[in-house]
Amino acid sequence: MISCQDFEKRLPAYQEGLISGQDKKDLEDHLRSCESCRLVLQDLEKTQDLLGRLPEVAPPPWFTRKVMARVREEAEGKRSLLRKLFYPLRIKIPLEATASILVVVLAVYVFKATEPEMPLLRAPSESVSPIPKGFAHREKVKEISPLPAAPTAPITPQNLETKTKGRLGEEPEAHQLSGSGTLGADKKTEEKRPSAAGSPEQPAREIPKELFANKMEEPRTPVAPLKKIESSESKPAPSLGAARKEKDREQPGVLESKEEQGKSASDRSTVRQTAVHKSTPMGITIQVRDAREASKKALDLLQQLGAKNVQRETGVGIEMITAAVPSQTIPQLLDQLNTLGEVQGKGLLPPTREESVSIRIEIIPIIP
Amino acid sequence: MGRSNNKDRMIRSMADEDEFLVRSAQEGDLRAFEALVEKYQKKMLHLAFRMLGDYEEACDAVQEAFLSAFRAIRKFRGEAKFSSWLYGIVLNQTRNRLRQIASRDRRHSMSLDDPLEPGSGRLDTDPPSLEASVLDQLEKKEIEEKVQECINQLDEGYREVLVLRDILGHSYEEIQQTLKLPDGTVKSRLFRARESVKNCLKEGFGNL
Repeated sequence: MISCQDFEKRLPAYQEGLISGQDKKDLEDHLRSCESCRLVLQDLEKTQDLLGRLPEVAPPPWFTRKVMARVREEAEGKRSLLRKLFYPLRIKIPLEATASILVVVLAVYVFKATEPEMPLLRAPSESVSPIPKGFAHREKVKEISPLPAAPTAPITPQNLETKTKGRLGEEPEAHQLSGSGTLGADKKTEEKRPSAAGSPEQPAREIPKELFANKMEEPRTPVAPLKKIESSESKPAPSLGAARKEKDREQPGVLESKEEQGKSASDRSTVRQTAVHKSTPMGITIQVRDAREASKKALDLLQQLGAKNVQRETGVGIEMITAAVPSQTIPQLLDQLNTLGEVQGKGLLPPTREESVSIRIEIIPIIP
Repeated sequence: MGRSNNKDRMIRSMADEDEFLVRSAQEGDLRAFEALVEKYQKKMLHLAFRMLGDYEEACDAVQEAFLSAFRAIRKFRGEAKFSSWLYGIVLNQTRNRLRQIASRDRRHSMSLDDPLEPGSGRLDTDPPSLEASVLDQLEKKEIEEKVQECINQLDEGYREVLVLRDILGHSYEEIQQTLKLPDGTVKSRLFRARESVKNCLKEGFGNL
């Protein structure tokens, strides 16, 4: 027996005309006899009727226009969006990317290209490190040297060569004493480089002072104050001319060497020597036990050598003699002065072409 | 016989018209799309309103649906009727909005532990007198509101079938196309939806 509940479940399908045959006949028989199922069917039909009678709602005024305004906006936006998205993507962004890549490639290329020069660029900075050493050395010289006068002209290969010639007798001895070789010369030039390379346009007074102090005094071991300097360096130049050449090579920043690269060595020497002769007298300091006696001997010596304008000044324990000495007698003068006491050359070597050289001999007593 | 021939001819001509307008719209003719909006806006709004139960929401949903249709019209291949395709888009919009409304309501809903306020909720509505046919006494608008209220209580899937079949009068075939559901599912959902609405109405009005 089919219950009312089962029939109720079939009613919607029956209502839709989806039940046929025996099922439909059985259901209709039941509906005739069962009032509650008949009511359910009626409610269903009324519900369907109510749903079907729900009216359509009217769209708001200008609804189509509103919709179309949005649609047109969308259509234009699509175009502008295309322009915004694809135009830059196709043209602008690739251009920017290409430019960026080019910049990077260029930077790498420049870096690679300049890489070999980097050590050269670093060279001065590396040579800067000995600067304090150089300064210390200069300070030391200043401290040690009791003489007030200082060489003012820049050192030149000719100056050095002349000086070397003037002390030919001493040089081998100095070499033997110091026992230095090429290595010592290299080291010395390396030590000097910073001070000379530091400022090519520095006043001539500064650079030559140091160079002079180093170069001129090294071979002269007997001189007491500078002996300290020598011992601290303990490396005299084996060949000052070679050292100068090396120096020129090592100091590309020095204005002099750059400017005069094209000139011959003789031209340079002429110019320099003249300048030296005119600017400074040759300073010689002798340390003796008895300054007065040594002064007399020196005056005699100068007269023997044909010196002119001989002047003698006497201070407290210090004798100073200035004179114009024939240049060819300078080596002899120096040899003779060595017999008086410890000679310390302070001036520059006499120019070979000049007839006479003004010299200044300071005779100071040895402080016990 | 003659009438059915005329109807078929009319449907065919409408389909032809839709086809022409759709093709024109696909080619970028905005006037053709406007004609389609003009033609279907009322039906779409009817569907949206019955689905959502809120006029403003329905208008917004239909507007968005037309916009979506415009964006996607080039993808329409004519495999189904244009109206079915468009109804499907409107239903998608209404589903999204129903979810938004549901989540909004959840955020604003009270805790179960909160005391019930008098007058709030459906349970507090006084059932009308069961003695006479109440329908006659109620205003038409009230009946419509009550029916809509009952529709609103249906689950989304049931509501769609009920609206399409009983309110818009679509055929089962159209509903299957629109919802992309098998015939049995459409019918079972429809019958259950009707049953629910009937019970709801009976609960509200007593005898129908």
